[in-house]
Parts: sequence; C-alpha cells; structure tokens
Amino acid sequence: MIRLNNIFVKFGDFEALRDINVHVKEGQFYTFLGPSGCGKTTTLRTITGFIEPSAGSVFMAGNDITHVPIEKRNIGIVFQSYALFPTMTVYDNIAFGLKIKKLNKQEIDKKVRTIAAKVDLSDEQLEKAVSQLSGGQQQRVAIARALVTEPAIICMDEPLSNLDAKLRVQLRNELKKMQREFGITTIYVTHDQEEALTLSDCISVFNHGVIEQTGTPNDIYNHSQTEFVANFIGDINKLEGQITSSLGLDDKQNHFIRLERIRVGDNGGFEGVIDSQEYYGLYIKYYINTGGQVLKVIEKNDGVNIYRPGDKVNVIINPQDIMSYAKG
Amino acid sequence: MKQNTFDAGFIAKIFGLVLFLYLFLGFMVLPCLNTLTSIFTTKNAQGSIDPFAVIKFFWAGTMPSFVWNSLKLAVCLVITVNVVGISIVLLTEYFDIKGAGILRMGYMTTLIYSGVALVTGYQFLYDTNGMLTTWLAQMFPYMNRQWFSGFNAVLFTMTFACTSNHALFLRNAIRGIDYNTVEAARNLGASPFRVLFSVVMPTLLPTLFSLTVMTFITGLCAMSAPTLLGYNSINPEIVRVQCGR
Repeated sequence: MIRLNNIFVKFGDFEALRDINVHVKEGQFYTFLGPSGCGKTTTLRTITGFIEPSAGSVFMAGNDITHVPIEKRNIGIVFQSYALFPTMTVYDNIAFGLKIKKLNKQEIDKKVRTIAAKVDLSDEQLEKAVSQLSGGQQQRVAIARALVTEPAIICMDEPLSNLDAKLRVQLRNELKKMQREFGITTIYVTHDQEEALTLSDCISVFNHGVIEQTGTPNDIYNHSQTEFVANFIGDINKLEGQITSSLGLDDKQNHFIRLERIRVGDNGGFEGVIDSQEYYGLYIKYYINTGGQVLKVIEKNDGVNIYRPGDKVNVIINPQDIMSYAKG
Repeated sequence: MKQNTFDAGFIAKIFGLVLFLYLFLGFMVLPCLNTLTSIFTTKNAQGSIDPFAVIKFFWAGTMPSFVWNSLKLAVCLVITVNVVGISIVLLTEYFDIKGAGILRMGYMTTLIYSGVALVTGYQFLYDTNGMLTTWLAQMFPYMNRQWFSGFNAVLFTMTFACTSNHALFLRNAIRGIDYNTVEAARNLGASPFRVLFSVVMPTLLPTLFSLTVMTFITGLCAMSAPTLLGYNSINPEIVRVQCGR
C-alpha cells in the first residue's frame, strides 16, 4: 500500500532521516514509535507530502508519489492538535473536504451525518462550535473529517497525547475498533510504547533518524534486536556483576531481562532480599537486592504470596529469557 | 509577628484601592464627565448656554466640509491601511517571501517616529523643495512642484504611518493561528487561496475589526499630516478655532 524506499531528509546540515525503508500493507495498523526528535513525525510528513525527501521515493499502491502535491495524495490526516477550523461548526469542519470536492449539498449532508454517526457524534453536536466540544469529542471530529473524503490511508500524529490518561485508554480501544470497522490502512505516530503495543499490527522503532527495528508488537517486545529497542520498550533489568558471571554470560556483551521473566521463589537461583515494593493492584513490583545489584521483578498479585521489605527470597532467571547485545 | 503581617497586607490593600480609585476617577470618569459638561454648557454666539452649541458648531459655515473631509480620510484610510497591512503580513508571514525580514523591518521603523517627524521625513523627499521633487523638476521643468499636498499626500503618508501598527497586531494574530489547520485544509484539497479565505481570514476577523476601528479613529482625529500637508480636516480646524479665540 505504502512503501518508502531509502528515504533521506535533510534540514540544512542536519540529517533528520537516514535510509528509511518502510512497507505498510493494505488494512494494516502501522506505528512509528520512538522518543521525541527521532524522526517519526518527519517520516509521516514525508508520506503525507508536507516534506519532500532529499533522496529516496514514496510509493502508494505502486505509484511513485514522491513529488505529488499534498492535496492529490488522497491521504487523510489527524493532527496532534486536531487542527479543527475554529471559526466553523463541527458540521462545516467535517464537510470542508467534501465542499472542496464540489459534491452537491444532499450528498455532503448524507456523508457528513453517516460518518458522524460512525464516530459517535450526535446531530446536536454537529451544530456546535468546535470549542464547545471536549477533547475526546474534538478528536472524533478530526477523525471524521479525515475519513469522510474516503482517503486510501489515514495518518495519525500522536492523536491521543492531548487527552488525560483515562480517556486515552478509552479512545485507544475505540480507535482500534474504528480502524477495523473501516478497514482503512492506518499509519500512527506515537512515543507511547504501551499505545504502540496495544494498537499496532506492525511497529517501526525510530532512533536518531533511523529505524532500529520493524516487527510485530511481540517481536519488538520479546525479541528486541538492539539495546535501544530493548530499553525503550517496556521496563527492563540490565544484568551485571555476580549474576552475569554466575550465569556464564559473555562479558563482551550487555545482558538484559524483562521484569516479568524473573521468577521469585523460595528455592534455587540467586538469594536476595526485598528492598521495596510498589503495589499496582493487578501486580506487585519488587525491588530485590541480590548483593551485587537491585533487580526489578513483577509478580502477579494472587493476594497470598506477597513479600514485604526485608523478606529473604530466591530470584530465578532462565538464561533463555536473557537478551544480549554487543557492548559499545 | 502575625499581627504585623496582617497590618502590612491591610495597608497594601488600602494603598492599592486608593491608587485604583485615583486612576479610575482621574483618568477615566472625570475627563469623560468634564468633556460631557463642556459639550452641554458651551455658550452660543449670543453668549447664553446652549446644549446644542457643539452640534451647531459642526454645521456652521464651512465646518461641514471639514467634517466631511475627516470622514473621507478616515474611510479611505481604513481601506488603504487594511489592504497594505494585510498584504504586508501575508507576504511576510503567510507566504513567507524572500526578503520578508527586510520588508518587515522597513515597515516597523515607522513605529519609532512621532507623527510630525514622519510627515517631515516624507516632506524632505516629496515636498516642493524635496529631494525627489527637485530631481523630477529638473527632468520635467513644467511639473507642479506642489504635487505632494492635500488629500492624496495625507492619505499616502498616513497609510504608511498606520500600517506599521496594523501589521504589528495582525502579525501576532496570524502567528497565533495553529499552522496545522492550514496543513489540514491543504490536505483536504484546498488551494492556498482557498485556505487563506476559508481558514486563515475568518480567524483574523476579530483582530481586523479592532484594527479597522482603531484606524478609523486615527483617520478621524488626524492632526500632524493634515496640518503639514495642507488638508482641511476637522481636528486642525478645531485647534485653529480654539487658538483664534
């Protein structure tokens, strides 16, 4: 559906993107994930046409669209700020693209009301000014406006980042539901790894203008190819000192293990003492001092086996769960 | 100790209230009352107090022509300043043309002059003995050396004098626009001009309305340009009448 071939983007002397290769398949929910300034939004803007690459090509459905103007790409965009037109009503915001396409009034009205119903906007809300809507409702308007012109793909640039945590989770689920319902190819930009893991079919992790890894959420999380990806996605322990030597790990490499892969028991493994605990309800996070280092461990909260600071425990590490990367 | 803190706070509040009352009464209420009182207690030609004397003044003798001239200047100024101001801001901020910085700086320099200094500057160039007029007169000896006077000269001078203020406020308003809205409209298929008229301009309307009112009042109350460039508007005439008493 969308293919980026060897994309380079330069701003003066600064190389914002270096040799970016992406292949988004039809109907896929594809996420660009990474910290601020890593190039994910620049890549999205290259796809949408706001930025022309210094080198490389953008293909859409087999056609080279590298130099095609923004308005002719048939790509819908949902911005981080929603970018709703403040002087127009919700209805006019959604109808804007249809008016540009010079559809007749009846057709515009039908399309606007249909899409509004799909994104859960009432007729009453359609007549309101956009400033009268809540953040969540404004986001729905932005999605409706992007979808009403029936674009081939939709690009979303951190659309949930302006919302509070609870609403973010709620809308995240709705977004995924909507994407499945419309069956539209979606490219999503976020710095939130939880958002990326829950929503995506495929993720590209960006760092300093390059893609570190592309894969399914499971690949990215459980089989991180680089140290950066392992550290950026989820919480992780870096194994050091006595543990690495006891396990016979190569000292020319850095070794990591996910928190949930460490088991806490009464026998075997390494001896340790509970330093502190964080109670999350569903699970409990323990900080266990193993002599050489403090390991973070997550245990399911069964309501029975709860350890207190000072308790002596055994930490069991399965060498197969360790992810190792060359130093330097 | 606590008592002292309370006293200090209380004294500060009283001081603040007195200062506020002084500013409110001294600079807002009393000048307005004084003006209204003067208007309705002005004596007419017969020497008796006449509530309609001021209104009659504006309709006496040649005064209506001065009033008309001021209105004409104010309305024309609103048009020219808006056209030039909007163009300057759009060229330098929206379309971001090359040399925008120099153009912007050129317009903003007028902000540092007083009205008299600005008009004198224009006269230095365009007046009867101005540099440009002298140069033109050498090329065209029969030209009217007093070409830079009257309504056109006042309108020209005031347009550029007022544009800097206009552009200053409009520039801030245009910078306040979420640029993503422009990108969103472009993405939905709108041409740059459609974006300008459907998305950008409606957002600027409240600012433009305020600037229009401000420019209209400036035109109506113009003093230095009409006086120095010889245009019979109402404000210089009022001063002349007042001085002639």
